[in-house]
Amino acid sequence: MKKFVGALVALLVLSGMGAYVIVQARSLGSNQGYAPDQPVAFSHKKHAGELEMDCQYCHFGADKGRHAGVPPTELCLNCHSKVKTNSPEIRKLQNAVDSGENIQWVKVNHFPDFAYFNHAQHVNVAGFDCQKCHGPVEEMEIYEQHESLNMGWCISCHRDNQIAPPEDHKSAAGGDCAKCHY
Amino acid sequence: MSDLTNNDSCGTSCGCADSTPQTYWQDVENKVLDPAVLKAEFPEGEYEAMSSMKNRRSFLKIMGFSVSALPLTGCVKIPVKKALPYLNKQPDTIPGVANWYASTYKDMPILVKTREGRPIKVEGNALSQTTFGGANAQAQASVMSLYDSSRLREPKVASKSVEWEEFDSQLKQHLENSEGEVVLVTPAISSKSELAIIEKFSKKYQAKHIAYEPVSKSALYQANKITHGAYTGAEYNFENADVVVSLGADFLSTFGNGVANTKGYSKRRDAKTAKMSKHIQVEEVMSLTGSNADHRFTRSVADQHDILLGVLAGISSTTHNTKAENKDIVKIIVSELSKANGRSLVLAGENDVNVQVVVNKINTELGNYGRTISVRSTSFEKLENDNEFESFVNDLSEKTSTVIFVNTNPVYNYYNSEKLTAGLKKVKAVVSLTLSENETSNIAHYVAPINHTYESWSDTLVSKSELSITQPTIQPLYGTRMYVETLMSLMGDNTSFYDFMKSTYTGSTSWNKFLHDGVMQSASLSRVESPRSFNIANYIKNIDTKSSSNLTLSLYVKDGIGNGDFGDNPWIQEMPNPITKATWGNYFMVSPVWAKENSVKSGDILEAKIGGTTIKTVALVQPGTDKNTVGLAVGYGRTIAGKTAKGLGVNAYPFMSASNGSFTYNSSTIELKKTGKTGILAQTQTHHSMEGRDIVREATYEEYMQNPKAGNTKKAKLFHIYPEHKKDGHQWAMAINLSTCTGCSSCIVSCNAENNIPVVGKEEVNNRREMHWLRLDRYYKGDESNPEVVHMPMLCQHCDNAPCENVCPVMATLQSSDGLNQQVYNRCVGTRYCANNCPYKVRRFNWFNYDRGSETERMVLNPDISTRTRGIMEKCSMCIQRIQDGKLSAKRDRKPLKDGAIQTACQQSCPSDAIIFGDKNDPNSKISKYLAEERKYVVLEDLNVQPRVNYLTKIRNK
Repeated sequence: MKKFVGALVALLVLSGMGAYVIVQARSLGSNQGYAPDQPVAFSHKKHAGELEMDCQYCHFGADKGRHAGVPPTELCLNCHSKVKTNSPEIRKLQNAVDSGENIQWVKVNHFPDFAYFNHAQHVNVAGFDCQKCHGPVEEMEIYEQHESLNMGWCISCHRDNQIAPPEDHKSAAGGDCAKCHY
Repeated sequence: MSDLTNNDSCGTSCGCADSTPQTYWQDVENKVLDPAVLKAEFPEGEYEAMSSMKNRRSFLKIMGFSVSALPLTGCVKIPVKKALPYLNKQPDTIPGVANWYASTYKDMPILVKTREGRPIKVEGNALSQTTFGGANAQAQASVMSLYDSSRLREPKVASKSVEWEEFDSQLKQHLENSEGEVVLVTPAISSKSELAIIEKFSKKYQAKHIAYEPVSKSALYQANKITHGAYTGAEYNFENADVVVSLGADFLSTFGNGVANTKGYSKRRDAKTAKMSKHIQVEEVMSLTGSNADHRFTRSVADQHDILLGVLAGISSTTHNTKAENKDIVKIIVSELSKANGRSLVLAGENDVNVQVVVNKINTELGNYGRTISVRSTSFEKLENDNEFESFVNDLSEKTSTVIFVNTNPVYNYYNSEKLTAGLKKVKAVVSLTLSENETSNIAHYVAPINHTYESWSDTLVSKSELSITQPTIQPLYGTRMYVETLMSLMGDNTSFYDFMKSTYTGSTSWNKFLHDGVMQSASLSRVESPRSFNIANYIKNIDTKSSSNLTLSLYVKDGIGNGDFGDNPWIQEMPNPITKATWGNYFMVSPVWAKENSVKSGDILEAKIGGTTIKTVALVQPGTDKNTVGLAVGYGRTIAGKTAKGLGVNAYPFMSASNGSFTYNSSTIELKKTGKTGILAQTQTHHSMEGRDIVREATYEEYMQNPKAGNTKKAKLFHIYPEHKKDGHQWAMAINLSTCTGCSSCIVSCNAENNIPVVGKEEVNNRREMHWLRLDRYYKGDESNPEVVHMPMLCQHCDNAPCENVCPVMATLQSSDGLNQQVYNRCVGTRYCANNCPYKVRRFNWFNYDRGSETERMVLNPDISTRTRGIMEKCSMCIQRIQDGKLSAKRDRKPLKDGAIQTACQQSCPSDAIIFGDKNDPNSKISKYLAEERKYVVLEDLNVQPRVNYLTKIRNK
């Protein structure tokens, strides 16, 4: 009996460890929930939420090309050369432009080099809201990575949303490797 | 038809071990198939690491690091990455979106693709009426030269770095105060605005302007002056020529505007779309042009003279006693020419005024001027003049105050370098304005860097009726300055050259249109000159037809490297020569007959005595070389150059000479002797042997006219075990026209640039590990002394039943739904099974993490393509990034994807339009029409791998 209990406990412990390893391994390299401090205390909640600014005012590349882009510092100053100029955070922007030294934002959504992603394709052609992948950005004081951005996540969405391609475009976003990997 | 199918018995499984002579062969050594000679695809010593890892200590270091790093990988968080936005964004820059700017490279109007402000790719400008969207390998490779880290970065006075202001003031003071002659030496210039600045400079300092080119066409210009009254070049219209006769002129590559010539020539080489032209070539060493001829004859330079005079006698009233061995050639040429009055073209490549005058006479007699050739004079060009340069060297003395060399390097590439150097020592100040330090800047007191073309403004006459703009596509990378602005600054003029140039184009609309289109056509740019009368007898008697029984050295210009300007470009160095397939260096090209007599093999190091000089380099036995001629390429043997060119090959320029007022490239007698040592040739040729199968199919024009299927009648019996897959949607396919492909290799370099293909270096090429996704197989047929040649682009065939796919243990290579064979780098574990199973041998393995150069040089990489690391297999992806981009753009514009909107890099760069790519499911596409053609075939059809790349039978007009 003791032996049996011992074996059972050992089995449970082992399978527990196994499960833990699997769970950990699946999230290996995933940065979901990553919300690093940024050099300037910028609030998406303030700008996108309360002020209801259009995402693409700053991330203007999103419907044009591959990158949505971090906005050029001068773009911040379009407003902030007049608005809240005394805030020490805003002064960092002016200082950067004056000194010519870039602000080193911490990259949150990191996409590996061997995969190709195109914002315009999703924003412009498919007409998705940014929130679909980036989560409720308008509620985020500090921006965080909302989804896992791993391959399974991409594929499941592409499977679930059998986007009907325009009549003349015979290929939908399909499961071919070389759609993203080249 | 040639006997192409006599190797039927050599089917797919036969090893061809019996020593049967092949119909096609690749080099002299494997002409007879001997298994011992054929080299293995993956040779012995594959696992031997690169030189840096050769000792035990470095091996242990690397192993130690790998072992200790392994457990760490499990607990490391993804490192913090920074995102740096622009502070001030340029208005037209959107990150991730390419911008295209019209510009010019040498005589080619081009478009430069920039990403985030960095030029990364060059394509021909389709609006040009000269090159019609073509660009050669040099233009493709030129972006690499822009980033070259060996470029000069600051002005120097007496070898000390100084600021620009200091340089300007010191040199200006010298120019103003020192008495004596000022000489400005530039390359040939055909820019209106640059010439205007030079004229101002010449006026201010009483400077003499001399144009100098080491590979000169001075004699042709001189001949045109005699026959047409204008010191200028000729323009050829190959599209109108039914018969083309060339005596040693490599007009498809290095003689004149090779791209413009290829465009016109290839329009008449596709038997389906036009009446095929007939091309006869007589030459002493095999050139790219000669390899495309319908009739090619190997003859020494003296024999070429004999033939030239024979032809003149045949069509005019002069007399000439042709040598017996040349009589047949003359007969053929004369009979062809007389059938095509006013629709023929005769060219000679030699830089000899007598020869060129006789050629002009022949063309006049045939009524070709105004139809296939035009001589136009213009004030917008300053062409090289060998005579002027000779007298400049002779006149160098204490009386000369200043010599300014602009982007020229005569201390390296003038034949009498010693005399020039001694003369320059007497001069008060030598100035060198140069891209990077070289032999000439080394002896100059004042040295200043100039801008690369892609950092400059200019307006170039690319043909006599077309101007092409050069506009900067990037800020000067290394603090350099346009040479014209340096000249302006020395005149005390601090305005910009851009303002000056723009002001000469009055009316803002025409300027904006010029800037946008890149080209501007106007007949008023030049004046047509008509033939004048002159006494031909004087020129005939100066032509030497005496054959020499001695070996003669013939200097030639190598495709790509050109006069040596491209020596520092690794893409060009690694581009296999279209004929010899050798990379990285020059060599003595000897005939098979001579090699046999002297038991010399390719790779033997020979010692040559030329005049009083002795040089040593490797021999290459080249079919189609005259038995008394030894070929040697110019442009190598640099002593002061960047990291790529320095010390590579031997310098052939000292063996030039001058006679009849122009430089001569083929007059030295040479004695060769074996040294018993062997060297590296780094050829890409022998390890792509096709084992005697009917890879290439061909027919003559006559046969084709009777039966369009001629030469392409063999059909394999195929059957399928499995039902065929459904093939809906886009189905990509490619067709390659072997009749128009000239083998120019522009596609190879274009592919390099587009797909981030690494350069592996001479040693690794010799280990057969070059990485080119697209190669040009070159096959010989027939007699060794004068074989027929086929050029065949070979790339991943994107098989529907791909043998590589089912041997991959990790599913890293598989078929896409639109018919591409995909290679997934992040899955690949590097077993190389796929490469072993590929019947076309087109897969490339990354044996190492190849050097991508300095941080600046890495700016040339295409950001849409991953750079592959060690242990990964790669191969042609059919430019998947371009396909994706084409599809995405069409969707974004809400328009159907038009046929032709997607072009692969190789297709785009092809100056003879030999490559066609498109959707074969679209019945109206160009590719569908090609696939329905009788000439269409696939390589190794009997394997039933069903390639997506198709070839069209080669048709020869013989």
